[in-house]
Amino acid sequence: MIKPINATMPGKSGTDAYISPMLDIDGVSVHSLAERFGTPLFVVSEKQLRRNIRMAKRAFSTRLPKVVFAWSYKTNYLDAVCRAFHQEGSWAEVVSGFEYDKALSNGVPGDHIVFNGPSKNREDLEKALKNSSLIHIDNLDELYMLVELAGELQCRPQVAVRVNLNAGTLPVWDRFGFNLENGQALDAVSKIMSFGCMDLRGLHCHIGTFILSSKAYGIAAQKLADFACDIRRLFGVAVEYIDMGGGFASKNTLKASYLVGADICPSMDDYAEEIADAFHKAPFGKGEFPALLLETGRALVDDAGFLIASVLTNKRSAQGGRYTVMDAGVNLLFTSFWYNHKISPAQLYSQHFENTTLYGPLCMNIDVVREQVSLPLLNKGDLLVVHNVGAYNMTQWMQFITLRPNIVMIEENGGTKLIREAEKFDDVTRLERL
Amino acid sequence: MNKAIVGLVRMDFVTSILKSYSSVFFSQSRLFGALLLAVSFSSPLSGACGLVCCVIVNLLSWFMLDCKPKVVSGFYGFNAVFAGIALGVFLPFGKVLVWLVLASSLLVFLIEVWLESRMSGRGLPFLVFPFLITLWTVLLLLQQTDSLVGFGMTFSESSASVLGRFFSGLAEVLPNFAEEYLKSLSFIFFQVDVFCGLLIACGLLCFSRIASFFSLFGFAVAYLFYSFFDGGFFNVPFAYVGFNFILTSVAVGCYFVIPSWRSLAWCAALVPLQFLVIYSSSRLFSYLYLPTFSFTFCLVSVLFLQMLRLKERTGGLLLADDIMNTPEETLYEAKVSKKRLADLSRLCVSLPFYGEWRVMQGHDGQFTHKDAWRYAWDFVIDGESGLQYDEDGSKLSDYYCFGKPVTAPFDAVVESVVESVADNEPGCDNLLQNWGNYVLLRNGELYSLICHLKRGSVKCVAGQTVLRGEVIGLCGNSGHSLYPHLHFQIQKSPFVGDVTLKYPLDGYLKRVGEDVRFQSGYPAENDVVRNIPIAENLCKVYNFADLKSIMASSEKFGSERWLVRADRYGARYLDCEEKGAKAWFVNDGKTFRFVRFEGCRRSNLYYFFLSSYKILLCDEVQWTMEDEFSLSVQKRGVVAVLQDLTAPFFVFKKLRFYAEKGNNMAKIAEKSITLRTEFRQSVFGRAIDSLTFDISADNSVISSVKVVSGTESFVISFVEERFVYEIK
Repeated sequence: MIKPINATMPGKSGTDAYISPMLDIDGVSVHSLAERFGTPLFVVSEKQLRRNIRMAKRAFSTRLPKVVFAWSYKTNYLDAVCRAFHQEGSWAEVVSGFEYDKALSNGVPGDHIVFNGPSKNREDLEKALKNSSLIHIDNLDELYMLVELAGELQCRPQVAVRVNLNAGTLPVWDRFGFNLENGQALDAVSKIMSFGCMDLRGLHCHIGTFILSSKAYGIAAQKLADFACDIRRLFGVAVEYIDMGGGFASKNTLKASYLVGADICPSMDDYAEEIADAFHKAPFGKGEFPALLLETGRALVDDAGFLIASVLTNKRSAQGGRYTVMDAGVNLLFTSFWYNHKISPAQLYSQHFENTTLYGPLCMNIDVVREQVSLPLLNKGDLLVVHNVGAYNMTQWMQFITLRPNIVMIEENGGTKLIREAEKFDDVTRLERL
Repeated sequence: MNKAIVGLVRMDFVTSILKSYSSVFFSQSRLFGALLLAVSFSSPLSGACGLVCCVIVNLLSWFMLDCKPKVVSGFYGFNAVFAGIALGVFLPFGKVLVWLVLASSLLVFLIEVWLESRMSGRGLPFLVFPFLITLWTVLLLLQQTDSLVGFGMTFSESSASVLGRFFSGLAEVLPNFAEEYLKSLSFIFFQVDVFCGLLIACGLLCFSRIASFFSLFGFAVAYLFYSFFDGGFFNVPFAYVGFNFILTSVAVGCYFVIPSWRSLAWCAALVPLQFLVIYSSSRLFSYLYLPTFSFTFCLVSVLFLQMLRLKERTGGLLLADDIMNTPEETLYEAKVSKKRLADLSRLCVSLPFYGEWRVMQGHDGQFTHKDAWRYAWDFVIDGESGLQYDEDGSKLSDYYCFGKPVTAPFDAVVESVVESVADNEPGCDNLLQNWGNYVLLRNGELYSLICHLKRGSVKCVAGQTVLRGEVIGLCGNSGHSLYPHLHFQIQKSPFVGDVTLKYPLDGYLKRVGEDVRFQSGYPAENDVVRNIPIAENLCKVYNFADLKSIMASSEKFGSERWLVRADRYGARYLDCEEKGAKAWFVNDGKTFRFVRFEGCRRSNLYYFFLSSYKILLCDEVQWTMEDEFSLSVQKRGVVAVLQDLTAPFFVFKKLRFYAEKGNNMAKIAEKSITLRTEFRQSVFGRAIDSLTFDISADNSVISSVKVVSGTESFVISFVEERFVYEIK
């Protein structure tokens, strides 16, 4: 992770020929936002959120009879963001008791919560059972615990089996769920059937993250569909849904990428085409065509999030390269460890550009937002907008050295609303005891 | 066990007798039958003869013919009633009478069987022809003997029935017309007695307001006609023939034909004709010394009905296909059910795609859907911005609908396929290969053409069978298509691009703002439509066909057991035996509908019928739906009587059904489902009564219905009993 930084020479792909300033977000001036709410400041565009989910829904629902989106809480569990997705008809996909409670408090009915993840404890499962949520079993210990709880609570758990499989991508994620190819998955299913105390409702797989090949989903969907048909044949149970997980790429640019993400990532339609094709080819019985459940998070929210930061200072490296320090660093931009985030100045600038290393404010050498980025000359106090930060940053951010800043949402009607207040001294120290 | 069967048979048999009597006035009411039976006994001997004849014929048909429901409905009995009563009137008690009662019962029965076989196939009733033939046969014989009491004499004698004497004063008070009307009614039972007539008239009014009205109307027109000719011309007392007008008017005006202005006009128009037939037939039969009786009613009614049957287009006058218990019901059911249930008798055509598409060009469209090709639809997908494409629309892949799956609109055999035509660039056209790549599907007589598909995308071959909803190709831009869209039409021939056929689509969902509404028929231009995503769990909730029975209990009506049954026509119904209530239903996989309710309304079944009148079996989206009840279920009272009377001409009362399904969240298979429905009655547009129902179901089983009416409310809870298949 820690690499020597050398920002003096342009890479082989050259520097950007030009970048355009980003003066406003959804019509609201960046400077006015900074004035009102201070920097750093996260901004979420409600318009873009809804646009994304509607586009995704259209891509899938025009290809398959029944499609359900479950909002992946870990991607961004701000209530305002979750509720926007729930309003658009999305369920909740949670991976912890904390997220589960959050989904409930957002008014999601228990049976519209998908409980995933490798670490569900007893209390979490009890809660999920009482609300008849869909529990995606990750391991055998969880399965046995469910059997035990079903007896204790006198209820029928509604479960799906999480399957891992080889869809032709590397690395093969085999840490979650049961492997399909070596028979673990079938073993888990037959255990569920022989216990007979729970309902097998679906199958789940999640082949990886930021998958740049839509074909992989076609392979995975075909394998799962075939598995579903096998289960139907062997046990007489037709699963009601197949959950293809998430992992669709957003418009971000991975660090190793030669071209920018927006140019090489498959579109929602590409993913939909592959999955739908595989489903339509599968020999499902009449009236048994399963619903498709999707837990895509990143692709729906990434480009709806922006971070406004202001320049603290400019410096020169020992070699003479330019360093710019801004007031938002890896404490807020966890994703900058693997993305080259697009950065735009928020004011007009001269024609002079220079390769720059963009640092955050932390007193840590790793606090680098961009190792090299071509930026115009900036003054102290100038604003920068970091793009595509909607996914993971607002959940994986750290209270480290500084406090966490405000988050505002620009509503569909153009209004601005504070959706999470900046942390205060008390918020952090309140929990401490001497 | 045996006892129960015997009891049941007895019960059914008594019913068959009573219904034989009420059938005289085209009624199925046992009470009315009992009243008529009593009236017939105002002359005890003829009453007894009528009953004996009826019993004999019903017994014969019960054991000889294998069609009990018909026997129970009095189908064979009413001719015997007439024959028996007539014999009792014409003959004194004695050996001859006994012989003739037995013999003519048999004759009535034989003639009925023969006439039924000749006429039923043509959809015609035999009316009282069997009685006429039998009576004429007997009268011809009696002319040889001294036993004939005499026709003319009978009236003066028997009119002095016991009760009749007390009420003979009544006749003096009544105006002439009313007296004649009542006498004519009683003459149907071979009496000329105002009091008997009054009883019959009251019974008729209780049974059906419309029938009463039509009988009075027909009679009044005839009476006026008779008075116009001053009676002298006809030299027969009006009372002797007046009943013909009553019966014809009821039969042709409101029983076999759906009552309306037109049927009323026809009733009037048939009066002069009936006079002609009455007097010419009495002249004809006088050569044989036979009376004409109800010959006129039979002949004129049958001729008229035959004309309606043969007519291809009946104009405004409609024969009642489903004859219900009363003309009111027939009318109300015909008015509502025709619309409501039309889709059950035709091949259902779905939209040929998944998801929401917009009708870019509908029927009689502005671009190409004209003349012979007017009944077609063009569909596209709109984006967030209202445009059909993303980016600048210069590439085919910018268009949202391009490459989207196209599905078969019905189960079909693939008739022909073309898939080699290149897709046009946006804005370009290919008029030489007008239809581009297409799939032509066939189911029976119906063909569907789906075209402008993407090159090489067709997923079926000619001769292959495809099922509704199966992907058959991808939307493209080939042929006469400037921008990607899907062209869809129904036609009657296997020729590509032949004349289009106006054929309604099966139920679909139409977006109206944030709302989704259930519709069927013809989507209009710019409608945003999608197929109904069927919820298997809701299907299961309303799939009563798999059940044996349902126990429904509430505080208000106690506990009821509903059996799930099917009648001879395969129509399913819930049968609450202890209360004598039945509710017919259909579940076509898209909607659950109650078709009809019959019997006791003070029952859980009645409220369940109201609550689930029409349920869309879809819970993936939020939807609303409206429907109309037939007026048969209107609240009884003065308003209802008025509405019944005016119903053939004017409907001021409306009974509406509303249903809605909760939140917008996508569903896979919810364990618990809630629905809210409403039943509203309004008079002249003003709401007078409304009921709200909250239906809830758990684990694919209906659990409760909460009924709220104003301040009062009660809960019906359900327990289902499934079939247990035993192997013996």
